[in-house]
Amino acid sequence: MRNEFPALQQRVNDFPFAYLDSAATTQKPHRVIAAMNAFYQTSNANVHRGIHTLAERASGQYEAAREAVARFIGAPNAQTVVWTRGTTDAINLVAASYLAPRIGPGKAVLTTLMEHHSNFVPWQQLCKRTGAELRVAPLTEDGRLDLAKFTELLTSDVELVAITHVSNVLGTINPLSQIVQAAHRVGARVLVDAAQSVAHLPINVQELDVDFLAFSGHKLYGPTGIGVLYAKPELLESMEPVQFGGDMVASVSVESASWDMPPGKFEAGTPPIAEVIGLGESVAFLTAVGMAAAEHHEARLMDFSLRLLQAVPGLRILGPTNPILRSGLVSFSLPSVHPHDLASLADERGVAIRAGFHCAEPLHRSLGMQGSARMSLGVYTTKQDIEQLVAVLHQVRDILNGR
Amino acid sequence: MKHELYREVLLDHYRNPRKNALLANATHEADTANQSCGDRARVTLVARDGQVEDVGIVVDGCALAVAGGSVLAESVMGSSIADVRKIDVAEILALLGNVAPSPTRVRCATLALEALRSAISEH
Repeated sequence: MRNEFPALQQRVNDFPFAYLDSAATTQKPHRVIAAMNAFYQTSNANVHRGIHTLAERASGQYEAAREAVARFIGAPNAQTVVWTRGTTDAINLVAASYLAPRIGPGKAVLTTLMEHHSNFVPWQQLCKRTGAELRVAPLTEDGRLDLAKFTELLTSDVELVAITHVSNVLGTINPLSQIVQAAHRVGARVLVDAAQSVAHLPINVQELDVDFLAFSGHKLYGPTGIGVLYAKPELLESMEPVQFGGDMVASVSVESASWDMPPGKFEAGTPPIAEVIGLGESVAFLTAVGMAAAEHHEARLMDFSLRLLQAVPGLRILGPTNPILRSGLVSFSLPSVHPHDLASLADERGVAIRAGFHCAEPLHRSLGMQGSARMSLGVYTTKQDIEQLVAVLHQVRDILNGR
Repeated sequence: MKHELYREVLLDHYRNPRKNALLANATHEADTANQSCGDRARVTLVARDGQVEDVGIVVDGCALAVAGGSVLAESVMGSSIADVRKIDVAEILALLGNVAPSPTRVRCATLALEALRSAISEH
């Protein structure tokens, strides 16, 4: 598996490269890079409008990628898949197009304390602007969503529940089915931030019955600059576009314009075609690997990581210590070691980890922490990668504080 | 193993930061935070007739930030305010043992310098 990823074939600072930052972005397999190259070398043309061979080839590959993504997440059809720039862009689209006209004083958005800023700040700002209430469900001591408190806050004035599938700091997997059912009982819609889960857990949007689901291509072994908003067909029908221009219209006169069918009406301008094709290829890659196999591989590594990390004296693990409750990543801190120093010392030994707030500042503040360090997993991660990190963790206090 | 960044001089300043207590009778002071990581540098200075008589620098942060505050404190002791104003990023990195941190982390090393500059900018 590792051989399929060119970037992993190098040494970093004279050590084998242990890439443990897949939660920030995944490395790309050769076939994704090759598909994007091949597009530029053999098929480059604009999509949808051209009547020539390459334009038709480009359009065909572009729409085939949409179908591949729809199948991958269990969507009813390709028209429910809207291309965006990424998760953030997808969430902002829902905020501006779906929620803004439906919310105001007396209405509420319910989110949680474990959200990434991308699934928090858009709602915070929208509520501020419209006079709606932002409700933030608290967490339990061990970093799970406090379901009792969440249910108390979920009243009939809640228009939308915005929740992450997997926390990018705690690694906690949220019980989506339960949350979606509870939300629908009070008439609320549910948006799921799947940025941290889509490459790690099998997802079926119809089985989960989610209303909106957002994710980014680059966390799925695909390129940056492309992401997905899935939404139920009737919701996309009911939403007005927020960006206007070419490719999103049905017809235009001097006085007025009418919109293309979804998803076209949300995709103004020339899209990132090579990136879409790259994302289609990354979905094909993951399908070949098998999501069940990917999940199993990472679950084994999660067990292994937790066991090794818990043996480091003084190390504090954020989030649940039961590996069943978590996916893909572990954040941690060491007493009297600043996360930046930890990440720098790891880097000197070829280990890439993340340090800081991980775009979840409210969560860190609630934990009383000045940031944390985070290791995260991918399909290419090996036990050796984790051992390489843990060796640093055993040395770091001696290095910094002296023996 | 040899460390590119965490050299002995840097580690020494991190473990034993110089002039690491705030002064009650400060004539100049500032409190600066690095919003991206929450690190904080507090600088107090007693200056008379354009000369630094005493300094106290307290940094809550990573090794680079703490050591950056410590070498700064040493270098401003006994200097004129005019000379203090000339201290730049390159000088701090040199004092830390000629380290070359990544651009993201240069800001750590110079957090105390930022605070010091804002402390003396008002006058």
